Amino acid sequence: MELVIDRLSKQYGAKIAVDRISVKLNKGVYGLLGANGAGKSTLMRMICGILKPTGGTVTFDGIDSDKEAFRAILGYLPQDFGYYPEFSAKDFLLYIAALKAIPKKEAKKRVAELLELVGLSDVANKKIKTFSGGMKQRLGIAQALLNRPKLLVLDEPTAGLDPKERVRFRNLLGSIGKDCIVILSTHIVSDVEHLSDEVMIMKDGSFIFQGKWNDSEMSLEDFYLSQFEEDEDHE
Amino acid sequence: MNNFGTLYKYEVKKIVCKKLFVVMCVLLLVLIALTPFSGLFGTHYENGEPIGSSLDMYKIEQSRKMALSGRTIDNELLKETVEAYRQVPDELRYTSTPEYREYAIGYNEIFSFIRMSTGMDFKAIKAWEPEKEELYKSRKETLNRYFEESFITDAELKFWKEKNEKIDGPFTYTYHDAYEILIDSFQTVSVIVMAFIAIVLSGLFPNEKVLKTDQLILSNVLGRKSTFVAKLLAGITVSLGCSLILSVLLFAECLGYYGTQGFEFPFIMVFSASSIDISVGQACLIAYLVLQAAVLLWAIIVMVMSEFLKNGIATLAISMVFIIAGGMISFPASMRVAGQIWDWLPTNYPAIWNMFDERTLPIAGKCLISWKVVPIIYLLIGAVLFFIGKRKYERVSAE
Repeated sequence: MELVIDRLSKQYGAKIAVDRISVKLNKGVYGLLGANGAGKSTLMRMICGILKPTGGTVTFDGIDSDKEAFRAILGYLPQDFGYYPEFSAKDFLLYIAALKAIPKKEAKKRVAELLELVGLSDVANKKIKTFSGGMKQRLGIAQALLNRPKLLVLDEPTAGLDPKERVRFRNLLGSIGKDCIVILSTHIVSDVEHLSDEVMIMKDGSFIFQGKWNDSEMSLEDFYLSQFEEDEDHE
Repeated sequence: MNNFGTLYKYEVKKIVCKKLFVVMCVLLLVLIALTPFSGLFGTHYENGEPIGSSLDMYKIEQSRKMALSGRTIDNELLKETVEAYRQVPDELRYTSTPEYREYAIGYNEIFSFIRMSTGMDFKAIKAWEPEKEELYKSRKETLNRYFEESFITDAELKFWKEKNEKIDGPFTYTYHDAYEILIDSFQTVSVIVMAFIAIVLSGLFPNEKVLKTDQLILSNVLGRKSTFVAKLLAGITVSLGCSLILSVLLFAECLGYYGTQGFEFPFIMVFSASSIDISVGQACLIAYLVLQAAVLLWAIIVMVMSEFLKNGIATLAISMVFIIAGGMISFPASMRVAGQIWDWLPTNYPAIWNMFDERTLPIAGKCLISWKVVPIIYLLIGAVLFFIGKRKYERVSAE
């Protein structure tokens, strides 16, 4: 199981959003840290094959990200998780299951399982428009897990979750991460510290750090904050 | 696993669950329910004085027409018609006189046939000594003259003249109000349905971006190929479903209230600028079936346009401009090709005067009558647009 990102770039006019990123990822949880505008979401969307890169490639076990076979092993939670307000949680998950080509019978079973897992089984038939932010986020996490993905890309998955939900999510991700590649982006350093096997820190479209955080002299949070301070000093 | 049925079901649900759709459906049903009876509301005036309801007046007219139903339009009936109209004063608004109500009201369609066939005015008809051979001969001559002045090709002229030559009298007058009202309501129904499609479908593709669900769809296995087809099919289903329901409702109302009599009544007595030998009932069936083909193409155009523009409001604005302009702009007959293309657009074509007019599609020396060929053209264009839209959707990038 290997995800290979090779010289991946995205340019919008003169602005380089992602600058020739190359990395190889194996089974495990990877935390992606970076300030707003660092290029995290752009990178994640290119990994998922929904945003065309200006240059470079993304492959999973040799399969290109623009192929159906790649999407078949992918689970994705976008930063701005979109939903259909008039759909119930169950209908929404059944629809996404259909998009993931999961057979109907299996989909029903999996949807029930996931609704239970994210604590939404009591409101399965309620319209999503009546849900709180945290409930919507949990629904978003559930939809990403429908096809038991080998590559799980989560863009700010803990946004909107209360502390209790966050702990539950950490435990969930801990068990999922043993069997697949999980890339999660967040602003919350403690989430990355608790969950990730490796850390990738992005700044101005490039990785400024990648690997296990073993620095005993400086905590990850201090390093991360120091990057912001550098920016402020430059300004 | 294809899952197309499930995707299609949810795409239909996305359309019909919206409040806008429900509101539009209710409005449409009310409008269509009232359309065939619009002439029955209000008060009838004679010489500026109210004398009863429009419904009372219609009941009189209907009973007189029914009394004449089944009679051949021969010298006897022509004389009766002219005699009746001789009682009516020479006024611009002669239909608002008691004499018209008293003597002429049942003969109005035969009177109209005489006027269109001979080109005589009100006074001339009153002075005319009816002669059926003269009337039917004059009908042919008047129509042939019209064809000659219509900027049609020599082949078309020959084609229509030959058809005209084959239509001989005498015709039989039959009460046929249901079909007449179906024909009168046709354009109204068409415009309403086309506007409904533009409003309901213009956001079908762009709304995924607005709701931010586009990223979810595109990141899934069936998010590109199957989703486009499912969406398009859902839009077509809703459009055709709506159009068929409204058409059936209109037929049920008209035939239920005005009666089923008159299916065989000659269409050329209702639409004199034609030498298509069909009945008024057949014309209604043709018109409402061709409407379904126009609806199919229009739905595809709106959806594919929205995918290209990525903007529901812009798609709606452009669509409405086409619908409104269709009723306002007409090309002069001398601009044959431009005029024909414009009038054959799916928003403009569903109108009796476009569907049954003298412009044909000349192919290999043959003149193909428009209502026979336009639905096929629509299906071909629809198929081409489908593939263009599909190609575009499959290559979309969530920028």
